Amino acid sequence: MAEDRELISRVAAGDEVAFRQLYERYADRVFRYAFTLLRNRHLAEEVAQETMVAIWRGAGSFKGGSQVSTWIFGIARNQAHAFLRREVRGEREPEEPLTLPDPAEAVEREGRVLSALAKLPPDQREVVVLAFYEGLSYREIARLLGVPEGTVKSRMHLAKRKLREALT
Amino acid sequence: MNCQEVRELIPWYAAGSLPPEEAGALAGHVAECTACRMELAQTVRLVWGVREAVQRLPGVPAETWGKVLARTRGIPVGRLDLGSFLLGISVGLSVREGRVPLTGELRVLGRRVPLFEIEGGAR
Repeated sequence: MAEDRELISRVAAGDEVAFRQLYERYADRVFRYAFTLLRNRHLAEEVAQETMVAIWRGAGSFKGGSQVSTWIFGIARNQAHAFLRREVRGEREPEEPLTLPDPAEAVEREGRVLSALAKLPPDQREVVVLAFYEGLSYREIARLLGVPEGTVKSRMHLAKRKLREALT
Repeated sequence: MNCQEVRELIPWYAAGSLPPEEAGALAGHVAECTACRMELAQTVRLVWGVREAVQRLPGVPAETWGKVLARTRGIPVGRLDLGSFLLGISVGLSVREGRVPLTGELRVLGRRVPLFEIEGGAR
């Protein structure tokens, strides 16, 4: 399987097969990340779409100073936060609960985890998803979010305490 | 590394993203500290709980790829392939965001190498 960096350099050269592989690798992850942030499937789909288009157009500008995943989630984050800024101005679409697609499949604990995640402030929820679901290090998250590493650790500490309270 | 420093790093250790030097120091502490060992066990359960729950959320809709393709490669309206699977050249016309670029590709062993794009070619 091709490494992310190889795929990005092929995408920069206009290789559609590499682009499709990158899409298969990241589109769901970007969608779920955006969905946990925005809690709106329509907006999450827009974020995924804009992110993939930006990858196609900007692959040539990827300098390799970070992981490809950090670069991609940085693009997705910018898109998602543009929607969050609209929320501040009262222009945003309504939030949906974080629920599983098929209630019959909804394992009780997973439903409770999603419900607890949804109750976290967005900045803490984002750190939890990036760290636990995406497996990003605290340094990568700090770089992605543009905040000090101590802030990332502090958000995680607060989030973990709330999740634990909600899940016990 | 003291207990407070370890507690700060446990989430990343549990998620497998702590750099090796910090992971080694943390593991050494946890081996000797019962309280931190319990904290680690609880956090590992939390990491897996979040991972499995988020993984079960719906993925990107199936039609999104088509939308992305229409905005990047464009919707093909005509294509001329010359040569064989081993070596050939393709010239295609597509519609992309209101423009109709003409593109040329070299085909080598099934792999496509872009050669040119005329009109609206700036990516």
